[in-house]
This record gives sequence, C-alpha cells and structure tokens, in this order.
Amino acid sequence: MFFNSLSFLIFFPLVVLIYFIIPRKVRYIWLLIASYYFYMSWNAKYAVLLLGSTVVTYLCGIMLSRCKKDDPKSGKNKKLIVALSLVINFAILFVFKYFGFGWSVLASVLGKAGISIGESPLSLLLPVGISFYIFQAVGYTIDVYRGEIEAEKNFFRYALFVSFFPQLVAGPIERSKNLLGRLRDIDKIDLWNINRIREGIVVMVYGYFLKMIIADRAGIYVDHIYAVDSYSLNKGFTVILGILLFSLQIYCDFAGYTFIAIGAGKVMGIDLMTNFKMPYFAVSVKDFWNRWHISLSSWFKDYLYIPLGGSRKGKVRKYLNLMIVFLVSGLWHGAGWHFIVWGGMHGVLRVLEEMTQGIRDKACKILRIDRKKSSNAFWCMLITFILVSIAWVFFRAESLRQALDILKQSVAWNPWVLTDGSLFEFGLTQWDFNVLIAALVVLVTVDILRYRGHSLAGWYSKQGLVFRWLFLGIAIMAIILAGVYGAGYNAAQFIYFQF
Amino acid sequence: MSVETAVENQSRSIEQLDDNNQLDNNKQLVNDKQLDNGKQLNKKNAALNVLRIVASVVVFVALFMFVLSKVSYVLRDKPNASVQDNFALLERDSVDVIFIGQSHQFCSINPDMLAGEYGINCFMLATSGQTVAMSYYAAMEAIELQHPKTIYMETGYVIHEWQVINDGMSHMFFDGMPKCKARKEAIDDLIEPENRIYYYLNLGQYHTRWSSLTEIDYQNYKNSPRGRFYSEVTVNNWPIPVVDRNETAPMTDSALEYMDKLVALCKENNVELILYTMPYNTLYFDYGVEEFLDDQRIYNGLYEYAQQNGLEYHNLFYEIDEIAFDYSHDFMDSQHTNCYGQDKITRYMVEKGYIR
Repeated sequence: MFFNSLSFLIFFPLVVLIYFIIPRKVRYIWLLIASYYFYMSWNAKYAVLLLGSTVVTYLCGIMLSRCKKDDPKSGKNKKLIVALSLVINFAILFVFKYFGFGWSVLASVLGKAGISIGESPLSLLLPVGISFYIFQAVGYTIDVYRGEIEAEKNFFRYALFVSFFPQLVAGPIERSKNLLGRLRDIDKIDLWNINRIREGIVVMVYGYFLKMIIADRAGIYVDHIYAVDSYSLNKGFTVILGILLFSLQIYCDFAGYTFIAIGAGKVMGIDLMTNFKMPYFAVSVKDFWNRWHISLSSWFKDYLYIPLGGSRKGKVRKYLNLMIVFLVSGLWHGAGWHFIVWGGMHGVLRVLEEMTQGIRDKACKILRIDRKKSSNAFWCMLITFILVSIAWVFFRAESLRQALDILKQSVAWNPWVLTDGSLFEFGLTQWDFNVLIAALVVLVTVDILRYRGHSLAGWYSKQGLVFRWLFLGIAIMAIILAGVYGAGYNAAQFIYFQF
Repeated sequence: MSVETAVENQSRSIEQLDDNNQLDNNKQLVNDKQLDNGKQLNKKNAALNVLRIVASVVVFVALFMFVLSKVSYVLRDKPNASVQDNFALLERDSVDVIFIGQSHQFCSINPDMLAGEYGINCFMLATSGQTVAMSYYAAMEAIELQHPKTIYMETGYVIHEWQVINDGMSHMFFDGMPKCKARKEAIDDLIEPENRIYYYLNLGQYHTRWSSLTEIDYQNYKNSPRGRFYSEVTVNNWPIPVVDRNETAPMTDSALEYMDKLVALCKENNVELILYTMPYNTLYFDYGVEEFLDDQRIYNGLYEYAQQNGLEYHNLFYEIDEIAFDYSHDFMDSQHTNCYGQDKITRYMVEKGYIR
C-alpha cells in the first residue's frame, strides 16, 4: 500500500477515525493492528521477518534490563546480548538483501580462479522497508545497552514502535527515546486538537505535492535518459538535464514520503523526527549530510562512527572512520557496486573537505573572501549541488558501466536541444515542463522560508478560516489534476522503499 | 472547673468543631461543585470542539466532492461518451427500440429519422469499439432501465476475441452509463481489478486532459437526444468485395459466449433480438482482402446461429446493390457511412421491414 495509492487514502482516514474514538488504553493496540495490516498489504509473508526482528530485539531488551549494574559478569553478558541482537538482525538483512550480491561477488572471484559456483541458490524478493525497521530495532537494543532508555516491558507497545506504519517502510528511522517515549504516553495525547490535525494534514498535502507533481513527473524524463536499452543514444544537455532532474526527483520523492509520514504522525498526535532540512542549500558535503536523510546519517554517527572512535583517535583514523561510514551507507542503500561507489564518493569528498580545511581557510584569508556573504554561500551551494548530483548518477544507474557512460555522454556541446523541442521526446510535454517549473518555484520558496526558520504548517495555521480551507481545497485539487497517476500509469514506487 | 462547665465547654468546642467541619464541608461542596461545573464545562467544550472538527471536515468534504464532480465532468471526453449521458436522461421505460453494437451501427442508423419519419420510438446505444461482451451489458442496461420491445444488434464484432479493446473505448462506454446493476456487473466482468477504480472515479483516466481542454469541454455537452451520430465528412470509397454466401466460419469463442448470454437475456426478458451486419470496406486498415473475406465468412456463419436460436438475421453485404451506395458520396472513411449513407441505409432497413 503506497502512500499515493487509493487504498491508503481509504485506509488512513479509517484508521484515524477509529483511533480517535476508541478508549485511550487500546490506542496502541489499534495502531499495531493497522501497522501490520499496512505492511502485510505488500507481502503478508514478510511480516514474519518484521515480527522476528521485533521479538529478538524485545527479548534482548528485557534480558539487558535484567543484568545487574554492579555485577562484573553482567558487563560481559550485556555485550553478548547486544551481539546476539545485532547478529540475528543483520543476518536477516544479509540473507534478504545482500545474499544475491555477495554470491555474485564470490562467483566472480572464484570464476577468475577457474571455479564455477553457478547461480545464487536463493532468489528472494527484497522485503519492503527491511533496512529501515532493522536499523530502528537494532538502535533500540543499543540504546537499552547504553542505558539511554529503559527496556520496554509491554511487547505490543514495543511491536508498535518497530512497525508504526507512517514511518515503517521508508523512515524516518526513529530513535527509541523519541518514538517509544511518545508511544508510552499515547493514552495521554489530546487527539481532538484542531491546530495539530490541521498542521498534520497540510504537511501531508505538501508531501503529496512533492511526490506526485514533482518527483513522479521528473521521473518520467529520468527513466528515458537511464533506459538500459537506449541510454547510449542521448548526449550533452539532454543527459545533463536528466542528471539534474534525478537530483530533484530523489529529493522530492524521499522528502515527499517523509512529509506524508510526519504529517500522518502529527494527525495522530505522534511527532516523528525531521528527516530533511533543505539539503540542496548545503554549503558543503558535510553540511549536506546534516540535512539529507538525517535519521540515517545520525544513526550511523551514533551507532557506527562514534563507536569506531570518531575523531578522537587522530586525523588518519578519523578519515578512515569517515570512509567506513560512507561505504557502509552506500551498501545500506543497495546491494550493488554502484551504490558502494556512490557512498565511497561521498566519503572521499568528506575526507577531502577535512584535509583541505586549513588550505581553504588560508586561501579565503589571502583572497579576502568573506565567508559570511550570501554570494559566497551561493557558490558553495552550487558546487555542493553539482558534486552531489554527479554522485547521484552512480546511485541511479543500473551499473557502474552505465554510470560512467552517462557521465561521459553528458560532455557534449548541443545547447540547441534546449530550444528545438528535442526535450519533449522524453515523455514530458511542454505543459509538463511548465508544471515542473511552477512546482519548482513553490518548492524553492517553501525551502527558503524553512531555511529562514519559518514553517509551512505554522504559516498555514495563522491564516484566516476561509483562506485556510480554500488553500487546502485548491492544493488538493492541484495534486489531483497535475499529479502523475492513474490508469496506464503504475504508481511509481517510492525510490527509498527498496533500501 | 465543674464537670458541667467542662462538658459544656467540650460540647461547645465540639459544636465549634462541627461548625468548622460544616464550613469545611461547605467549602468542599462549593469546590466540588465548582470542579464539577469546571469538568462539565470542559466536557462541554471538548464536545463542542469535536463537533466543530467533525462539522468542518464534513462540510469541506461535501463541498470538495461537489467541485470535484464538476471538474470531473469538464475533464471527461464528452463527445465520445455522451451517448450514455443521453441515455441516462431518458425517462424510465419510455423507449421501445434500442440499437446496440459498435461504430458500424451508429454510423448506419439514424434514430432521429426513425422517430421523426417512421414513428419508431428508439435510442442508439451503440458506442465506438463496443465488443459483443459490451453489447451484452448494453442490452442488460437497456432492459434494466427501459425494457424495450426490440433490441437491434449490429454484429460486426463477432469476428474478434476482444472483450474490451482499450481504456479509451471502455471509458466511452462506461463513463456516462447510468448507475445501475448492469454497470457494476459489466465493470466487474470486463475490467481488470486494479483498473476498476478508474471507472468509478474516472479522473484517474482524464485528469491529464486539463492541458488540452477546448470550449466544448466547458459546455453541458449533449448531442442528439436519441444518440444519433452525425458526420458530413465525405471520402471516395472503393467497391466492397464480397465472399460467396455459402462460405461460412464460426465466430470467436468470446463472441459466442456473450452472444449466447445475450440471446438468453433477451428471451428471459421477452425482448425481441434482431441481428444484422452492416457492409463496410476494409482497406482503411491496410488489411488484406483475404483476411477481410475470412471475416465475412464468419458473418455468413451467423445465419446458422440465428436459425438455431430462432432469431432474425440480415447480412447486408449481400444487399449492397439494393442499398445503392454512391461510393464517392456516402462514406466518411472506408468503413463507415456518413450522414448521407446513414440516411440511405436507415430508409432501406425500414422499407425492407428489417426495422419496424
């Protein structure tokens, strides 16, 4: 059940309606049932994995809470319990997500030695959202181990923490302190708060706008540019536009999904963490990762980078840690070399940023460049955006070979394609481009306002009654008319579902 | 102090204590009352709040759905789907004769002429690409809403396996169709489950039309109230090749299945079913003459089918000379007659007693 499917548009109001009228004490049970129904609508069998991960981390949490603080043995036991949770969860992830890739790598290595091991014996469909809920559940185990949160005794409440449907399949990857804490007080939430409901709905509508008007429309052009059987025919500006549109697509797709999730949570009185803070306004790659998929980058920081030693063990070790984190992040996004290279590119850029920090500071001093000036920030944003967009090519491509070809083909001088109508041969009409440009203006305006500390939901709440309803009605109508959906069109899967 | 005084003092102090207690009790009562009042006020406020939210949502959804239905109508491909719109406007059980089938039917028969000149109270329910399966449901719709005495079916599509041709043709058939049992049964039977929703909420099909709307889209488009198709376009056509009458072939399995259902439906409802095939030329689709003659063999096979089922059938390929087509004047393309050819065939059908 995708957020942009009719099933969800029926499912969500029904779930909310019942959630609002049932007794407070059973709210979490209802949301748990709804969440499992939501997940099972994709593939009922894979709910077993979700349940398995939940049971393992729940029991590990209980066992950790029973280890005595002063007992010297308990420290060792606690480590064993955490290791058990990590091994089981990552084993599930490996089997269902990485086994095929691992097998192909092994086959390729052994093949060079003249040994053939044939095709992978397992052919499994990647369970939706597996990387998200496994990371969330593992994060909980580590939080309990570190004593940052008390182990949850109520299994059903904990199961809801792992499976809460708005953020189950594509994040944000919630922290136990935030979401579990909120779920523990679920019976105290005053649901009939008109301001909160209103804000939640507006955030959801904005998410649908990003997803259905921008991301799915840009995706049509991008799909043509990256089509495996015909991509080699495209050159120059046609390809550059495809690369830029993919940067737009992936942001609006993922941020759109997150806004829908956050808005849905808000309607139900459950706040989810911010996952995007205007990432293309980043002035460096480091800044980009503080703004992009924040729940994942902070997860890696808290549970991988810092345990590896972070920046505490010298510069070389810091660079190594950064590279490890970004390579793992690449692998998290997908089982393929091109994802690893994408992560590696960000790692290298981060390391270079760190290494050249001193030189850049000196250069700025000598050239009298005022870093606080907005013109300087603009150039930094532009350079960061270009670098990030080049890296996205590896992310979007089907293989390393294709990524390199696309980049190579983008270097050609044919600016006439921008005006001679050639661009309309890639699935988008003149009207589609007009809509895309208009929507882009809205996106940039909202992002600038957010950058300056305003919020769309806050602004909306302050408006008069008639304006508010009219605005909502027009926004929904615009999505219905200009959104990409319908017969003959398969609701494009949210890109992040498969990670 | 005497015992009495002591008792008196004690009783006084007890009284005082009682008074104090009474005072406290009174205060408590007042507090409780205030608390109760407060709680009641809170409850009242909460109830009002809930009412406000529910009322706002209901009003918004109602208004939005109203606007949406208007927008949906503007976006719909009206000229092509208006036959069903007009049919929906008919008073129940007000029509005696219904025509069903595909484009050859509505291009060949002029219902306005039949009503005006010959007093036949009829309606043209044929639509573009109406397969035999769709015609079965058109008949079901006609019987459910009009219960006509006679249904005339043009049988050009018995040569195809198709139950539906494409989304466009299906939408032309379903979009304006009145909400009735036949509509639901037809959608359930003919449309893939994942696409059914777009026949109940057809914006899924038409929402992209906003960039190509014309003046006609904003009008309350209604063509002939009897569903007449009218075209003055004229092309030069070629003489139509015709196969030997004795050469026959069976209709497709799908066509047979739905023809059987149609025959049973009409018998069950005591409605006369009359079949005919209109002549057409096939060169339009770059279709080989031999294949075209194969199709005609299937039409010839319908004589036997009609006989077995006690039906009247006319294959007008064998009456081309009698109709006396003017190939340079009567056709809008190689397959379809224009308004001149339409009038010619309509008159011929009545004069021969095929339509009565």
